[in-house]
Amino acid sequence: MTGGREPGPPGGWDGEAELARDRRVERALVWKEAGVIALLAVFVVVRVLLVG
Amino acid sequence: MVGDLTGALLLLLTAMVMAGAIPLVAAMCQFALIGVHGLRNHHDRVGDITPRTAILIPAWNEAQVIAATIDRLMAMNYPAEGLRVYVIDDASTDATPSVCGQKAYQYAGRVIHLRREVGGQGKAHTLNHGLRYVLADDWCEAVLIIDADVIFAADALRKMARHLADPEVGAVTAYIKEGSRPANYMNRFIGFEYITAQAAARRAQNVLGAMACLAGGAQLHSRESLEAIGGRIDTSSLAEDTLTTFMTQRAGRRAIFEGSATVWAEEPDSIGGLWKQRLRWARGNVQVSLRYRRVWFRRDRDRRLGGVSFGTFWFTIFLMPVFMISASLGLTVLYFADFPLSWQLFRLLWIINAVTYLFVTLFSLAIDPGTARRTWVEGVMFPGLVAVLIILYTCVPPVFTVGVRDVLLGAGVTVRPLFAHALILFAYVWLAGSMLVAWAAKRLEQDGRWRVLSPPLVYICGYGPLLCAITFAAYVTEVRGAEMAWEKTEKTGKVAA
Repeated sequence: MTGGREPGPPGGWDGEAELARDRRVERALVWKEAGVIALLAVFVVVRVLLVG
Repeated sequence: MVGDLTGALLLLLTAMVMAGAIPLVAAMCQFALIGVHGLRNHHDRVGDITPRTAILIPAWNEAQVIAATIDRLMAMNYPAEGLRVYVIDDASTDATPSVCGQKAYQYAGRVIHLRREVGGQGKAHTLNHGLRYVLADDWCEAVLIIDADVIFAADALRKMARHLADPEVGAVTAYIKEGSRPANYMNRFIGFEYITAQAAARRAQNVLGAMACLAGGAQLHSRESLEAIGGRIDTSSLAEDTLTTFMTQRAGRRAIFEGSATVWAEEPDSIGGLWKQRLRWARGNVQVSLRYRRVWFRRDRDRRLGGVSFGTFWFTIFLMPVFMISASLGLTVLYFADFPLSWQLFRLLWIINAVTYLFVTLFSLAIDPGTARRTWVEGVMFPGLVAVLIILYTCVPPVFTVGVRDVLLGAGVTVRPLFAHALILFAYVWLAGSMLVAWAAKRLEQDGRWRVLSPPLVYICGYGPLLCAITFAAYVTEVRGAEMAWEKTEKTGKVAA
């Protein structure tokens, strides 16, 4: 790929900053998943304790 | 001897029931991979590149939407000299040619109107007309194939293009979001579905290194990758986008999903529209499944598409109606053959269903909070009201065994055993029966008098079973060898990004 690296239109584009932001979004999914699993675990424990 | 036969029959019926859990377990495994995407990806090989990109828009009677699409593409955050739009007009009979002519004049040299005088052969043929044109010119370094109605977020192409810096990547797709405003119930169901089917499933496929489908409305290909698959789109299938995805990967390059590149699309707003669109997709998937029959579960033939995980995910979706019918049939026969066993299996199956439902729904809502705010009701009702009630019963039985019973007793209603057993039998057949109700909802929508009952019926039977009913219809249509007509989804230009 020999594409140019010229900056975009006025308004600016910081490719590195955008990529860093998107990587943070992806890493946040790890914590979201862990949160959902923890919530489910609590639900299962409560259900077993209350209902058997 | 009789005892052996009975034992074998019970074992078979048990297996039939538990087959219903296969897609549930597969869904949980797939969603479990999503978190891994944050840790295992190819982000260290991407770069902020802007290859000279030819955007191909196949268009047949798109006068209502094409002008807005072109304007948004021209306003994208991408170097102007690196972007050209080619509208491939498939012999439109409306104002598409004149609208495109105006845009070609407005954006001289950057918007090109290619006209086919004889059209109607389908999207793949139309795209090939454009591909012949753009690949004949050395200017083009990448090709973006889109639909005429989609609206690209300003940074979408730039975010997609950066993946092409990795020489292993041949194609990139974006996150298509349902963008109709105002959105009706069907648009919202589709909006939620796209979180699960795209934002979630395609991240998992990124982790696996095998992509099932580059969205037809947003697929960016490197020139090298397109040329490696012959420089054309295969015209033998109704799922030209899935076939292109498979061919790209079979040719040795990766297909990637970029979840932060957003593209808005207008999706069907009725069961009829959805049925038409998804029947085409599902028939295409049947064709692709058969075409790659020597690759599935054969890692030695293809280390990406032949993986066990990818094959399992593909076939659990593809065979979902079979699993649902199998579970219902097994439970119903067991009801008469061995009721206690049937009840145990029913409880087990729905406990797995409940855990999967909670995990998938909650995680989907967390993945895309913006879409979740608009579609959370449809997310909760995705499996349908009846299924949600069964899940509720599975999770908290006293609500029904004590609460509802007391309310009924208070109202002077006695629950007779016969009624209770009829209810149990109803719950047993529901997995398969919900597809039948979904089909009935479609028929009601076609009937002017009862049309109003159709949306509530979808909430009752569920959007998931509606998709399964369409897949089942696709099996039947393929077996009957019905003609592969390219039926275009009607667009009215109500996308508001």
